[in-house]
Amino acid sequence: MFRKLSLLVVVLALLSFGMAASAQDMTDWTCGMVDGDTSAAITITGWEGPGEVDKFLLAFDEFFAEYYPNVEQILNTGVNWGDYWTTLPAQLAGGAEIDMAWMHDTRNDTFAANGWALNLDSYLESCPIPGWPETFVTSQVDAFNYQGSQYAIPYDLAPGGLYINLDLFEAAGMEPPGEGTTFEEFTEMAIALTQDTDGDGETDVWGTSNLVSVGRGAGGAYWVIKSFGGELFNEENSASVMNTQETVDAIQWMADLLWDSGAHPTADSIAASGFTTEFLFANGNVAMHYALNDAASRMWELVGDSFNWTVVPTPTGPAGRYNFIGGSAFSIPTSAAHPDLAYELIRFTLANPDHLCRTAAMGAALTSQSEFHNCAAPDDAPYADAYHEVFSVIGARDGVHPPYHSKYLEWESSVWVANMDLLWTGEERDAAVVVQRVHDQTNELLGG
Amino acid sequence: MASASANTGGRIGQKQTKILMDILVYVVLSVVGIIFIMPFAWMVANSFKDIRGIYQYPPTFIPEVWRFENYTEAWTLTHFDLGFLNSAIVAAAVVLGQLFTASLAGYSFARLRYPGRDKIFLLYISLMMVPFTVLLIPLYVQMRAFGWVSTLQAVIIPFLFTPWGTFMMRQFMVTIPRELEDAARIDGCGFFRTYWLIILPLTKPALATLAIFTFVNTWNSFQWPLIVLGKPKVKTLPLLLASFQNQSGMRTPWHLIMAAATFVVIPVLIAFIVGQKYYVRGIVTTGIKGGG
Amino acid sequence: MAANVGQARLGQKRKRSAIEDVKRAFTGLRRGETIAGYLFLAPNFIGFVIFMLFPICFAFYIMLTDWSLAKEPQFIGLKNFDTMVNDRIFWKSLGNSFYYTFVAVPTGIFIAFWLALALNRKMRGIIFFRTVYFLPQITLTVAAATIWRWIYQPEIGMINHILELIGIDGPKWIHDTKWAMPSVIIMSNWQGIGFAMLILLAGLQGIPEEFYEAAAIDGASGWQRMRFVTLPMLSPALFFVVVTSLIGAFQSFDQFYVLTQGGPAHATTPLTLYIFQNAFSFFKMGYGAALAAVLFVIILIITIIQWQLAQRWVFGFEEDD
Repeated sequence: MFRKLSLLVVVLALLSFGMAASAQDMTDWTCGMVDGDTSAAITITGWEGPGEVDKFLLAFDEFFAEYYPNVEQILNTGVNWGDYWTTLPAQLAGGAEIDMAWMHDTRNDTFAANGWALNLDSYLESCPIPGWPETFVTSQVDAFNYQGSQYAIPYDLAPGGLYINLDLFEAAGMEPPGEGTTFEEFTEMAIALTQDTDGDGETDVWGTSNLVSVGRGAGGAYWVIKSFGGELFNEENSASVMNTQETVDAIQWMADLLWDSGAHPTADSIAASGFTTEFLFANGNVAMHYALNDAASRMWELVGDSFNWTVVPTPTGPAGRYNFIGGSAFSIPTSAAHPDLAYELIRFTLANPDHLCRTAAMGAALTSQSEFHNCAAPDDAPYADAYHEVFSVIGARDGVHPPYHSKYLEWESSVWVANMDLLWTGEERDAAVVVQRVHDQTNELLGG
Repeated sequence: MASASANTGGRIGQKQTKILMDILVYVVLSVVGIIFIMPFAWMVANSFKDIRGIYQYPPTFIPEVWRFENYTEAWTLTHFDLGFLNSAIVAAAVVLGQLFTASLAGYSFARLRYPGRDKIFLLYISLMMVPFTVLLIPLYVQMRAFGWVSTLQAVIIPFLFTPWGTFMMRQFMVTIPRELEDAARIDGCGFFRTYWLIILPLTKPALATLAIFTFVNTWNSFQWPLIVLGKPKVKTLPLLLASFQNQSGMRTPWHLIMAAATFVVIPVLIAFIVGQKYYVRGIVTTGIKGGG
Repeated sequence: MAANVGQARLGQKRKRSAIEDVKRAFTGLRRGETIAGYLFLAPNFIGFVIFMLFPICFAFYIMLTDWSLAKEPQFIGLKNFDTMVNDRIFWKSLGNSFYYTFVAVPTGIFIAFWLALALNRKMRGIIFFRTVYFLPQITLTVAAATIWRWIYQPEIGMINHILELIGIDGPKWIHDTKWAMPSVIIMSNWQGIGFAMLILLAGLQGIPEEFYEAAAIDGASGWQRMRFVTLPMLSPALFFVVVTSLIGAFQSFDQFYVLTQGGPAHATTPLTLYIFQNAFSFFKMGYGAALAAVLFVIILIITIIQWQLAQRWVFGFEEDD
């Protein structure tokens, strides 16, 4: 394995040299804002760890080798997710000079409103990114726009979908759900697929999993709410508009999966450690597992040839079809010592077509530019066709996420999760009661 | 008196009771020990599995596929050699520094008499009640002012001074019989010589305990190093270990994490076993009788 | 009335004598001891003041401000404390901190005490057992939490699997607002007992053998030896464990952060986690500092109470002389 790894490194290194050389011939990938002889140290921080971040590091290395050979990179990557969002603010508040930072759609408005992230509009005007914004996926461009200004450049998108165990469907003589499947039909399917195979009175195969989770934010429910015709906040994000029958129906549908039909295992906050819901699917104990596109490459590894599986779109509601979409981006903190250099680096990394396919393939990610979506799932992967259809076509088209306003994080923790958890733990079964409470407390928080 | 025979009978009975007690203690310790060792054993077992083995349901304890490469892969993937060096420097410096400052101050609080001593002590102890969360940012500002950001000083020097360790050393030093010290003083020892020649050797178990705990805490210290050590070349082991995980647990290489977590623990385990040698009764050889 | 006057005079006299004490301490017979006392204290104290005093003063200022971390702190006086009164999550997390502390600490110390006594015996393989009980302490918290979550999983987890074998329908553990806190307490005691055990063990090791021999000559029973030798001689270590465990429990954070993240429905959010969330997730640093001040005062009061009680039961506790 070690030999394989080092071989890979060598091949990639050779590949990158070749690409860097050809890139120079084709286009000049800087705007010349910074002198080529500049010697400086650029500080970069992000949550992606070893293995995962390599796709970008290759591009960074090419960029500096080619244009700024005297610039040293100080990489503080692999700060894991939860810690990243507390470390970065602490460092910025303490005056740390960070030139480039990974950004997430859930945090963009908070960082922009707090004055931590640099407004990139003037850069986008003086040194435009080729293809911006028309070749970038619109939902992701918008996700990093705060009050009409761009604060980060998206690098990927992550839509939600359903991972289907085809063997379980075949055994039950059923067809997997499709784009037009309604939420009611989905529940019926889930119930029909739930079984106690060894007859000990305990469920062994669940119809569905990971649609509901204790401690999960509103992103996991928002697409259901939209599908039923509900909404969370008013246009200005200053008050709740949740107290509608549509929102209540959506939430009740989720709670019923747990408590009415029993087709969904305990709503598990453990998803983050990867130890339960996902491995239940990988072991053939779940028929329809909900997850984002980036689970696909690992499912391939985990499931192996123990059963046939594919991906399908999530159900369609009375108000239309929506699915969750999330995404990440690169931003420049306002305390950056070398913002010009950072911008040039981001521009090169996210718009140079020579390496974007490699970036997508190495990260099994849908890049922010749709023309490279085919690179995300290798052609020899059995799920490749379904993946493109479900995630890059339908998923990107119907993607929605909650409006992440600047008070969103506090609202999500102290209002949404605090009340919804009672439904997901079964202490409260009536969605109407919980939604009303969320509605009142939301107005209290946003109005106060 | 009849008590003579009763006494010898009692001795034999005591011996039997001791053996019975030992057996009972072994049984209880073993049963409770299994609960204590389980998660650790699970971590070690998982460090030899491949990723599918970890996700297997129902889970098996013994790996079906043994994968020893986990260790070499985890080692090379994140430059653990450098991490080990950094962690060792930090842990050694903090342990030695704390042993020195805490035992000196502990002696002062336990044995020397001067005005305001106990009030200073309480004030000092109260400093450890301030939640660290609110000190993170000001301490970071201070480190920037000293130019210590991303240097090992930042995780060593502020932690050489410990109210916790001082408190502990004081508590152990007050139980040392005063007669020993007085004898030394009569022999003409100054305060420092008394501390160095009499008190320190008698507090070996406590010093060993403080050393073990400081070592463990420093070795596993995470939040502060994460904020203050931004450059890769100064990163300590827990930071490297944490970097295996990412955003949502997607593609988290649990088998490599378990391997890394296992080899990171080994030095602590060795330190603990070595430290136990100092758990010997300190006063047995002093020849003082019937002090109680 | 006369008594009051007398007391007032006495007070004056005491005040004067306190100053004189200091003077005398530096000039009189005990001059050497006083100087040595301060000198021995100096390295530790001065270092700690440099690295703690500035941050603590800063924190005290911040609690009177509205500070989002990004912009300059705005002075708002005591408004943060006003907000606290109507903050239901504050009250909930305060209750959780007390619940956790006053269940986890007594149970933990009780178990640690008996373990330490057992491990203090002269038996073969005792080092092995000591190491076993210390292992949780050195197991990486993230790895430990991952395993405990698996143990607690309601449908396929280890505990419920075992309970099922003996015919008990287990609770949902960390997925139930009533069982979540006991679940955290079990895990954190599992992890933390090695610490208390080791200190008590060091305390037991420090008791001179002669004391037991003397007690045996006096014909003391096992219980009497425990009551009149072990407990008094162990009391300073026990006091240390009680005080630091209580402080530690009120400040505990990691086990909540990794096992439950405060959920479900804030059932396991202690004050420390809420402070952390306010400071670094909601960017309300001023409010976080105010909450921290409340936590500080609570711990301080509890510690002072213990200090007062300590004079009754802890060996080597004297008034200032």
